[in-house]
This record gives sequence, structure tokens and C-alpha cells, in this order.
Amino acid sequence: MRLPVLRQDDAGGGCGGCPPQDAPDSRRSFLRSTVAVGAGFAALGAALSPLADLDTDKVFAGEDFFREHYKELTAEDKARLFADIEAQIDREYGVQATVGDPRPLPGVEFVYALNLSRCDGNRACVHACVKENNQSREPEIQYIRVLEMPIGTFELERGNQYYSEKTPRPGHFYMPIQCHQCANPPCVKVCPVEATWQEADGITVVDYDWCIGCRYCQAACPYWARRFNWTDPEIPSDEINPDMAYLSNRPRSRGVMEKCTFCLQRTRKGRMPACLEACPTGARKFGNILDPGSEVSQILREKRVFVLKEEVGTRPRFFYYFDELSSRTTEGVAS
Amino acid sequence: MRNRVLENVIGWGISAVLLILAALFLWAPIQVSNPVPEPVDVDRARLGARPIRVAMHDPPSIEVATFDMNCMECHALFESGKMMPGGLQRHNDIEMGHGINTNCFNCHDVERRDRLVLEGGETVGFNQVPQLCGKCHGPTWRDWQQGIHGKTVGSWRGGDERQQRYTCTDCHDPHTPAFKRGTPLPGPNTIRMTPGEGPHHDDGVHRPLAQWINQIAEHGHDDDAPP
Repeated sequence: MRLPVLRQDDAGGGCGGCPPQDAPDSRRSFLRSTVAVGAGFAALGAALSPLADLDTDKVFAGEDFFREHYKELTAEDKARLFADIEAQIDREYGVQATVGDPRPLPGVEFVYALNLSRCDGNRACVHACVKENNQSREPEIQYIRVLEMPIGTFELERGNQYYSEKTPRPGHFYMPIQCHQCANPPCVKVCPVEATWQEADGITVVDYDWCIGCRYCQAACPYWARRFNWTDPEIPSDEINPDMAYLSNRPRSRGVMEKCTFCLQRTRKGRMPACLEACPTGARKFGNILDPGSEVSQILREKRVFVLKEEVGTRPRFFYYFDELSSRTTEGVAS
Repeated sequence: MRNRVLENVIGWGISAVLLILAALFLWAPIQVSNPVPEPVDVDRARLGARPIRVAMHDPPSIEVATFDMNCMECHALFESGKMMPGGLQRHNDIEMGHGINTNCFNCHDVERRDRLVLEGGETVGFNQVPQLCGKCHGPTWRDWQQGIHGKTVGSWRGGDERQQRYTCTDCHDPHTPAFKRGTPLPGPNTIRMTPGEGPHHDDGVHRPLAQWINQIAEHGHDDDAPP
């Protein structure tokens, strides 16, 4: 192996080995590289300067960085983790929240049914959901979209979700769309890190700390049900719902996906979802499809229900149906 | 020699660019603003789980000159007409809008004004309104009994003590049963849509997609075009 040998030039003098004709160049190149390296360091320092303002609550550090996936957490891990999250919520919002982890109830599979003849597009469900699930208020993230469509049509792309006139508008009907908790969910299939999965009662959940924010699930969902936190969620402290669950309504952070979970923090404890309780028209029905006496079972037996975009094969657990209109209103909705 | 000049220019150039970038990063003279919509104002009273109106309890009572009076306290003393020839002289806060059902005694009992009357003259209390309404609204009553019509709050589990079924008059005014039209709560923000013309339409109508919707309605989709 040949080692590089420094060439000694005896013809020159002066600096003990340096070739005299190279001396000015060396100085120049030394200066040049010094300035370049200095600028490089300055740029690096400038690029890293936002780190000085970093909120340590918002980064994964130390133990958090090595946190396991939700499914691999032991009971002790969960207890410690939930206590940490509660402490963080207290620091950030000054709210004593309880972060729980209600598990799917045995023998329960949740199904939603929505009566399109009753819905009058008032959007109480939309905002009850925002309040219950601690969605960001600024910008506001809404899980439920209500489409206003002309009666006699069913073209979703002609539906207007931004309506603000008095409802129901004559000649129109309203179609609320939220997560359909599909039995064959495309959003779960596309997740590259398995941060989202379907649980035994049919609810598809997201581990917000495992999500990398790639938004594949948002692209895969045919129902426009997933939302992305583009900014740090802003929630006024007095509007925080302190009854939280790890997989549903605990505060999220920037850069993660979120979605409707049928209010699992309520429904897995036997309660009704917030959107249903706020609905003034009784258009929303929720329950256990495995119980033949439940309201949703009755509806699926009695009414001609349909699912949205049946042809895409997602097998939603969210059913729509129309009903007789006669007693709904005398103010000429159908005119 | 030319190469050396070029090298110098490139070297200093890179340094200068890096320095300028460093300065830009540090002092940030160009503020990149990310527009965030304002939080919306929502009437929180509309978001809770409670009936949208207060139904008459049983036995019924109404406020007369700040006293809570039972119906029969007046109706036992005063004779009142069995028909309504010239409209209501009392109870004129009642707004009638129940289609062809305009006769008081289709629902109220003639003799006992604190009772409701079913077919055949049988009376029920004001807490058994569904039976009364079922006289005409048979399919709706059947649906209500099965939990299909109406509203159940508290719990989805049958037999749960928190479960509460609303009756007809928890939602419908019996004299004007149809729901009134109302202003919807705010929809999704439109801050990133067509600045200047999108969010607030000049006629107050919030329909930023209107022009495309109308275009589709007029010309149909591209794939509708004949081949």
C-alpha cells in the first residue's frame, strides 16, 4: 500500500518546505475555507435556533422516545403514561383531567343509524362533537360534515357543506357524514406504522403518539372522515372536557391524524355519543347491533337502510335511511 | 488561471449565500404567516342532552297571574265552549298549526280538562301523550315504541338507569308539531378557499362552491358528454 508522500520542494525557501509560488494561494484558500466554514456554522446555528424556544412538553424526549406502541404497553406502563399525560394537561391547560382506557365491551358491536328524513341540517351534532372530543378550536377541526343536497339527487359532489341559511332549506335534504367505522377499513390498511387499527367493538382508533402524520389514511378514506392537525391545537382551558380516554379525546399534538371514535370514552361506559344527544330532531340512533332488541337492530330490520359508497367494499357500520316525511314539517321542505 | 478565478467566485459566492441565509434565519425579516381562522361562537345551550322544550307534566298546570293553577280550578267554575267558533279567548298564547286537527276536543277531554281523550272517550293523563298522538300517527307511534322514532339519551343499553326516552311533547309542540326552520350552527371554515370571494358571499349565503355546482348543473360532468 502506498502512502501519500508530501512533496518537498527544495527550490523554494522561506517557509521551510512551502512552495513559494503557492504561498498567496494558500493564505487565500485558508481564508476562504475559514469564512465558508464559519458561514456554515452560523447557518447551522441559525437553523437550530428555534430549538431554544422549544416547548419540552411537545417533544418526545427521554422515556417518551422509547415508548412502546399502545398494544405493547403493560398495565404499569399505562398507569405511568396516563399520569404523565394528566400532569402535562394540568401544566398546559390548568385542568384536572382523567385519562382512562376503556376497553371494548364483550358482546358489543357498535352501529350508527341516521334518519335522513329527520335531519334538518342544524349542525348541533358537529359542535357537540367538537366540545366533547377536545378538538382544536383555532383552527376548528370538525369530524362531522353535513352535506346539503337537492331532494331527488344523490350526488355528493353537488352537496354543499358550507351552507349558512336557515335550515331546512326548501327542496333540500341534509346528510351528515363522519367516520363510518368500517368493518373493512382502508385507512387501517394503508397506515405504514400501524398507528391505527380496528378494535373488537368495531371502533377504529389512532395511537396519536405512534402516528407519523403521513396522511395516507386521510387519502384512503372514502368518507372524508380523518382530520390532520396542521397546527398546534388551540383549546380554551374552560372548554376542555376533562373526561378523556387515551385512544380518543385526549389533546392531540401538531402533525397527527384524528377522527371520530363514536365517543368511545362515553360509549364504552354505556353512554350515548355526544352528537346523538345534541341532535334536536332525533335523527341519530346508536347502539349494539349484537343485541336484537336494541334500537339500531330494530331499524336495520324495519327500515330500508343503505350505506354510503357500498361499491367500494368498506362495509361501514354507519347506516342511513329515509322515512315518511308526512309529519316532519309543514313548512314545505319538500316543495 | 481562469479556473482559479472561477473557483474563487464560487467559493466566496457559497460563503456569501450561506451568510445571507444565516442572517435571514436569525432576524427573519420576512414573516411567513400561516392564516388560522378565528374560533367560532357557538350557542352552547344547543349542544347538551336535554329536551328542546318543556313538556306539560301530569297533572297539568299553567301559570295564571303568577299562580300555578290546575286546569280544573278554572274549568270547573267557568263554562267554556265545546267548539272554537271565533278562535281562542283564553290560552291565546297557543299557536295552532296542526293541519286539519284544529278542534281542541280532538285531544283534550271536554269534561276533565286535565285529561286527554282517546278514541271511545277513554281518558289518559298528560304523561301518556304517545297513546294520544298514536290515534292519528300510527306508524310513528309504532316506530317510537320500537325506539326508531324519537330520541333516547343517557345510555344505549336497555335497562340502564341512565337511559331516558323522550316522549312526543319533549320535542314537538302539540299545537304546532312541525319543527321550525332555524339558523344552523357554523360550518367548516373556508379560510383557504378562493380568498376575497369564498367565505362570505355578498348575499349572505355561505355557498363558496355555488359557481362550480351551478356549472355542473348546467353543463353536466365531462364524462356525461357524448363520445
